[in-house]
Amino acid sequence: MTTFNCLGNAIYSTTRPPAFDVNELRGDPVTHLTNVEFVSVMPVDPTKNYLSIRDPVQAMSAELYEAYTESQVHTDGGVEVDQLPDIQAGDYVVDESAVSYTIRRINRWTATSATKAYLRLILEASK
Amino acid sequence: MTTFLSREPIRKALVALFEADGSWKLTFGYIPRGDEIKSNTPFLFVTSAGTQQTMSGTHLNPASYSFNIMSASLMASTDGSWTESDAEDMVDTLDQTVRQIIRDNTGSLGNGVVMTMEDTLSQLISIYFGSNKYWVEQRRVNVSDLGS
Repeated sequence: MTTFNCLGNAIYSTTRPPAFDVNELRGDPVTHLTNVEFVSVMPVDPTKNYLSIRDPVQAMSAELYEAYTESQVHTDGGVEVDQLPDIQAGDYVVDESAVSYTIRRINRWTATSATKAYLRLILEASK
Repeated sequence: MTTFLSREPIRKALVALFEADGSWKLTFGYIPRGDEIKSNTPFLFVTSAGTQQTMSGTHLNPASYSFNIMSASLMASTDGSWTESDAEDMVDTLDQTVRQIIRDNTGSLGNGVVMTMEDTLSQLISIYFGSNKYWVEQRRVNVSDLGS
């Protein structure tokens, strides 16, 4: 990575919910992107934890995290590509320890003369 | 000496009925966590909802156990392939399925245990599981222990 190369980066993969089957059932998410470099997932500033939804049982708000990634070489559906990662809300980010985070929201920045296009992801721990 | 039944085996027997039908991607005998659901839809869970037992003098009347049958359908998908309209249709389909399963299995839980529908009223509520919002139809059923 160029823009974020001064920060601690790590390699992640993403999974995406599959299409509905003929009986209108949908199962577990499947692998979508692999070998994607992110600025490591870190907690969101708690004062900006405005997206959090209370758990109906524990009545506690889930911890939110954020991560950044930019246009880069990675694998999309088994094919190597060099582009902004195809990530959307509802996908999951999975780290090398198989810890999974639900992607709640994405902010997208377009490329400038000084930076590549990049994404800011708002994540929720999903075990 | 009267030995009371536990609701637990009855609740699990109810879950098995809905699981065997195959209309739900996942079934649970408890309130599932969001990370157990992930992108699965629809799903169903059964929770206990109380016990009624009265005595007439020294005679213990049959107990009645209540359960919530909670059928959940994804409200809408982020990619637009599943819409609020689809969810509404699915909720109606699954409501019919739930009622049919209860009707078809009334009296079949064995050991003098009879399942009945408390009434025809159910209610719809929206609940988040993980980051996904679901339409959840809650239906109360009673299961009576007629005694042996």
